[in-house]
Amino acid sequence: MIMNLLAGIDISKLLGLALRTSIGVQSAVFALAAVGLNLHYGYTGLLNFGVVAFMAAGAYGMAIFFTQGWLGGSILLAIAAGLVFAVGIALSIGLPSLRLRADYLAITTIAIAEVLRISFRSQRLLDLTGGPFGLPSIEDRNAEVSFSEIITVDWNPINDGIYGFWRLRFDEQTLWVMILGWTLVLLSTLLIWGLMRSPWGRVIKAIREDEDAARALGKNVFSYKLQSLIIGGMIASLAGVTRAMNTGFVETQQFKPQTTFFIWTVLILGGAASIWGPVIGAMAFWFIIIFVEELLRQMVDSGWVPEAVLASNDIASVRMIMMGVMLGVLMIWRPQGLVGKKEEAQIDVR
Amino acid sequence: MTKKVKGMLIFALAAFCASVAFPFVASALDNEAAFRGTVRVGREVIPDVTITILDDAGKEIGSTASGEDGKWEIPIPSIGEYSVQLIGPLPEGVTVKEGAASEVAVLVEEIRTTSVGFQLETSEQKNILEIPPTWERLLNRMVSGLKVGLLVALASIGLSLIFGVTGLVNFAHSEMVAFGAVIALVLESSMGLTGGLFPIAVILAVVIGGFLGLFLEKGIFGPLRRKKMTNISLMVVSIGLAFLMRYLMLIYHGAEPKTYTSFKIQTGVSLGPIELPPKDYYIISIAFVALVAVGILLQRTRLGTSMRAVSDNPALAESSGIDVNRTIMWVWIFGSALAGMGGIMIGLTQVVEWQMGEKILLLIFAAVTLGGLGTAYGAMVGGIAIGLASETSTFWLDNDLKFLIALAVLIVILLVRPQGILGIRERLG
Amino acid sequence: MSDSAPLNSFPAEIGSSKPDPILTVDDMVRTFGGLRAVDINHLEVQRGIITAFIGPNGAGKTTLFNLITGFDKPDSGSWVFDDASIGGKAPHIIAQAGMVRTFQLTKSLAKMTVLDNMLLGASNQRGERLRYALVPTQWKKQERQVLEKAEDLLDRFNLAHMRDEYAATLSGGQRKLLEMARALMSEPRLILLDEPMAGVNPALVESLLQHIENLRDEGVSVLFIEHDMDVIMGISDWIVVLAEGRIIAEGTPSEVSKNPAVIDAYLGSSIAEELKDV
Repeated sequence: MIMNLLAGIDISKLLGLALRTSIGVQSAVFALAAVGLNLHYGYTGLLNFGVVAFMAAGAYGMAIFFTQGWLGGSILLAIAAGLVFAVGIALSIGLPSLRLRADYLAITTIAIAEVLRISFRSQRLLDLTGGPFGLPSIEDRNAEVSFSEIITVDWNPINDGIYGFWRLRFDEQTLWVMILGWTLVLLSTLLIWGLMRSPWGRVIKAIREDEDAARALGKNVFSYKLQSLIIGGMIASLAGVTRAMNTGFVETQQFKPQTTFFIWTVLILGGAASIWGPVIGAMAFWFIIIFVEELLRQMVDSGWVPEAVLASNDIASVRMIMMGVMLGVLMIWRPQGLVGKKEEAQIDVR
Repeated sequence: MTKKVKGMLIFALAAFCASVAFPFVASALDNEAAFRGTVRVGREVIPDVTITILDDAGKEIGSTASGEDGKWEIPIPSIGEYSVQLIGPLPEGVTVKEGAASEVAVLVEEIRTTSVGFQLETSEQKNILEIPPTWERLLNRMVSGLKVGLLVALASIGLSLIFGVTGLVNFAHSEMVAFGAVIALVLESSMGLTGGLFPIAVILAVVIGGFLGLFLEKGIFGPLRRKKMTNISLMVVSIGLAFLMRYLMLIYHGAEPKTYTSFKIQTGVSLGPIELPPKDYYIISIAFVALVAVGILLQRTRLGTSMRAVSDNPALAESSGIDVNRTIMWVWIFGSALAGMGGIMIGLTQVVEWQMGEKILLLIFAAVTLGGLGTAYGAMVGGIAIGLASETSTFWLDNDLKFLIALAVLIVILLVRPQGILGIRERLG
Repeated sequence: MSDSAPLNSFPAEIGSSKPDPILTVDDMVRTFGGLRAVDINHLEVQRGIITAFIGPNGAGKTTLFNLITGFDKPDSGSWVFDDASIGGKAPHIIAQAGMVRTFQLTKSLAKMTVLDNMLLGASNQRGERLRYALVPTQWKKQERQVLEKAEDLLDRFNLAHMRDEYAATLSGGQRKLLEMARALMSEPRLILLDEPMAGVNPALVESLLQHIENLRDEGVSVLFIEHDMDVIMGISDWIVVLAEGRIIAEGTPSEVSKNPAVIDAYLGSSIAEELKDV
């Protein structure tokens, strides 16, 4: 029976695809966003359900400045503009709402993220954001140069060719964006590590534990929360920029609330409040997702799963179901995730 | 018969009476739904202007030129997102108005004729006389707002009550709404409960909705609550649950939006200055009756009293002999059944699709926080207010921004008065 | 007892002026839905002594603490700490000014180690500023000093052996000690202790009392809330009696215990029983 079952399954393909995705750009994008969320939620205890607003701010901020040819068409300045936009979002979320109770903050942040997304879709911003059509190619209007081309071709130090082995082969463009993405992940992880071992990080953790205690010890809780929101938000905005580097376009569909919950699942899977949790979470998340998807696909194709139970074109939805199940199951049975400390994982933010 | 059972019976009876009052007009499509518009500058119509419509993949689905009277029409193939483009040529001196575009995105959520207009201006005369907003149009928007509001209210009560008795912000609540709509549709199509039999499908779906609530409480949230999981953790669990439910509906219900076959597109019936399809009159009355029934249940039955008591102070309720866990269970059953009923009604006015929950989630949150989390009456008031505000806003604002109004209300309320309109400020220590 | 002022020289009357007040409260009113939880015309707290607030539950003691330390806002009123008007300031500003409080329900930071709890208490740490946080050379030296102080205090409060444990593992009494020690890290001039003895193992009470007395002897002014009459009589230099939000008497322990208003208030109500039982 088991041998029969295995007969239809191509294990090498299964592992290959799963590994490939877990080290791919998408995984780096999720890791970056999760590093940002980790500072917000894992360390500061802020229930930010609007992670995707920061990603959108980064991606759209960069894309708008670049396509409009403002700032002289410089890519780095356009990315900087995206970061500044993310700071603006952090301030506009934080200044009014950081005093709210945790569950109210959660609803407020998810609503603000939707406001941002729907505004980007609006006809009135057609010239800037492309409205519902997005910016299919992030291209400088004046100079007619494409953002992704500059990044992946002009700036690419790697010679043309295919690199890697087995099923882990990448062309020079993908490889270069992967290197960029994972470098950003590494740098932001180091940043968080540096911050969290400092007295600043100690105050941040204290705020997660009990705001009033921190206040009674003379710490300006509001200011620290805002700093956390801004730093984490900027890191998450880099996730949006990295995604735009990879896909070459931005559109509002990429920034629906479900993306926020993907990031949450990644963080909780890896382990909130641990330095490497977000990174391990992103890799593990994609490995699991792709592994199961591919396994199901092969099982459906080889007839082990009847069409009535699951048709092959439904397999994409399985990803979302798995995300939901993982999120729930982890919260219940392993809130500390893969590498988090059990003692620090109980969530009782107010 | 215990009073609790009586309470449920009153509710079931109300739901039943409401449902049989449905009209069973399965009138066929009187005319094909289309995009329609008139190309004009002020009162001058412009013939021979080409209009093209693309679907969201950028594929052209139709193209036509405006007639002698400036009018044009292109059929709507299906629900989705379209871009209507003004290709031209425009006569000398006529241009697209500053700030407006020659391309308009239209979201079709309901197959019905949709007007699309382009704002044009002549170079000589910058200020074009806009059609004055008439009271009639405003009134119709308000009635439509009332309808949306009543439905949102119906769908929201459960969320608010569950928060009241357990402290859980249940993100899966909107999926319970969608579940009701989908189940009713499945019953309608698979068991042939169409036309006059449709109310049976409605009642069955509401009952199944109630069982869903029972299952969620007994199978998931009840045990976890006893495991002393915090409400914040449970909220994250409910998010996971929402995705599970939403995508199971996608797999087993399909991606295509569907409509109840018992209610095809109907021609409007006028009542004074108000013009609505007949089903809307029924929807409004049924929703109204259901809300009154909820009020009676909460005020006049023993179950309602214990619900309010637990919501007010669980410890006190417990010590005065109320079975808190049992009350919570009934709140789940009751809230989930109401959510399902709301979902069916929403499905009747729009379409039934797997994404319904996602679309209505923030509206429900807006309604509940506006009225004050934890109070059923707050959810009612908040729902109606949100419906009115977002629908009447289209009178002044772009249609695609109406959702923003609801969100803006939500955000402002949370910031300014998080306890909502009817909520009580924090209890004394 | 403080050397600076012989206490029996202050008049034992409500709102009496003290020779060297560290905290002065004027016309402070806080209402909750029509109920006057705190209503104080004038109150001075003498520097360098142990002052106790007593009164039945609901007398407004904790509310008064919350108001003074900025955790709650009064309807009206002003208060001056050490010549600086701090009325209406945020809690952290008030704490930075040198007035640090503890809480009735201890707020030890459960998922941080005992040592981290202590380190957090120190004020004016360079490393707590974002711009220096990433450059350890900017704060390592100060961190070492803070660490020394923390270890000193942990020794004094018999918590040194728990240094690297999570605060969650401490007993109720140890948490009270930790919270007090943590508050001392910032070298406050006035420390406000909200029921420091409540829920503490009787064996630990004696050492807690000793710590409080030591604080006074080191020059820290102490203001605390307590239910236990015996404890108050033994340790306080000055007692302020509250009932229904108002001050009904103040004076030295012996004066207060003889005060007819206090006797009336306590004997005339079940609260007296309650106080006896505690």
